[in-house]
Amino acid sequence: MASFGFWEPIIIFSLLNLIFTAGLYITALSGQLSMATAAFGGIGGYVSAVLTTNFDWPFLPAIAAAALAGAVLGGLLAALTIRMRDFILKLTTLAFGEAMAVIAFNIPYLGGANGFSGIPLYTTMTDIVIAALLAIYIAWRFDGSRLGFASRAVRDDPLAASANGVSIRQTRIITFMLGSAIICAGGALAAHYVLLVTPSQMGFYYSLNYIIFLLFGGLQVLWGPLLASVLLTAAPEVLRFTSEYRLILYGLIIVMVVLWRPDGLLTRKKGEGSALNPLGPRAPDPLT
Amino acid sequence: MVLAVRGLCKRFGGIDAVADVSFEVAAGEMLALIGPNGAGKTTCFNMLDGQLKPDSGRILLGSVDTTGMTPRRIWRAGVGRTFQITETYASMTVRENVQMVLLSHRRRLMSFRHRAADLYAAEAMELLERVGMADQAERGCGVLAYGDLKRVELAMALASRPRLLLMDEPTAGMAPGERAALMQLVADIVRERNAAALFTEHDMDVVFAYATRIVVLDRGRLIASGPPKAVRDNPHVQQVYLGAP
Repeated sequence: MASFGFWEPIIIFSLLNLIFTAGLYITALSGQLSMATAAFGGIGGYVSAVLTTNFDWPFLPAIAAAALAGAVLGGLLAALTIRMRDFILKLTTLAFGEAMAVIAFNIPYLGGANGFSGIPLYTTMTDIVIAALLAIYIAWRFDGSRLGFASRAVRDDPLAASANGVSIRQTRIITFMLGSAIICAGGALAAHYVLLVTPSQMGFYYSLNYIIFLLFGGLQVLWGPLLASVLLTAAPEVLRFTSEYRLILYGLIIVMVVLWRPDGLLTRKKGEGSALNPLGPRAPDPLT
Repeated sequence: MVLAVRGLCKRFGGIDAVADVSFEVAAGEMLALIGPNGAGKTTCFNMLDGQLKPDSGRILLGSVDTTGMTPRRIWRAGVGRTFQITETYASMTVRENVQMVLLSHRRRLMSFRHRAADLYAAEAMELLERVGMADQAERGCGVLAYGDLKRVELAMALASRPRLLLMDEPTAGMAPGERAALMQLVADIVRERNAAALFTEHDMDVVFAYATRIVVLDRGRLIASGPPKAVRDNPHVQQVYLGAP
């Protein structure tokens, strides 16, 4: 593929974040807002890095192994948190992410605090574009599928969902497995581009970015978070000409969207936005 | 016989919430379960739909013994339920809410294939037509008026083709005109489908207008049952619940 010069890393990181966000969107669809996105990305990175660097695995099987590891760990985390909701669930995923970072930090084989380096450069622009398209396709198909319906039902009203014969356990485990598999595959692609995986990039500070993408874009339609992930990844780079003001401008953009479109960038139905808000209907404002 | 309850008991600590209650519901019947607060109506309901396991006694749905089954299995066995506070999926449209239940009932939910919004759309519209919500099919459930939500919930309960509808205070929170319309709708549907409805209700006008038979509970015990007129004239019922005429 042609060289994009200055734009190439920006495009690649935007699309990597889009893949992560697609995975997080699927996980969140059944009401589990995971705070461990960066941790899963890191796990995918470590798995693929170790397999290619130390065991001479080819690129594709290594990505598949990373995705499999994500599905297994995601499924376990979902099974562990099956009776938790809301705040406790989010805190548990946060703790899981931090624990994974600490574990990676303490394994000398993975390079400890310095991270795992010497990873072969495999990921090309073409790979990233194909992977992003694949992630969008999977998320889009899932969103409109019957499993997507079941997920929304579980998120909106678990009591009604179980009274309507939906298995909360199955739905939540499947969404967490699929979402985490996509995130881990994305992490593997990132590892073979950045050429370094470190425990520090698995922390909550990085996971928070994806939650911002999700809320900024809006949880009602898939395209919102995906658009937000690309826009917000590119924004600090595009604003680079404003030098030290760029982070202020970045913050300002987020604040403006939150003020003007509180349900996110894109919403499902005109005029019925807040009523369809998956985070629950807002209480009426006492001042209005 | 659609439902037969035999010697149902449930104790919470030292209190008999439901003690030795037996009754039956026949096809085409609208049976009202009434009684003062704390009489055991909701406990009784929660045992019938599987949220609580009875300590003793049996629940027969037709020829199937559903005693102690999970809510999902009882729902599959043919019990539809509406809740005192409506339970619908706020982020989905009215039509999608009904489609969700149709898909779940046919065990077609756990799949990645096909666009869910295209499946059983016509059938969902038929049900919405029946409850008078077809014109609002594409609206989000989160923006509906309360009375309309009750209709959607009824359509969702009907989507599983239940033999027995369990309705916990179906008209709570509705305006008097809406109450009559909803109960008339339920009565018509029960007759059409030769199903049965069992409901609790605090509005005695609704009970005496639409119930074909009434069961009265007091402190967990069944104190009277029979046609509305007999129950209304029963001195014991008047004393504990209805008050003197």
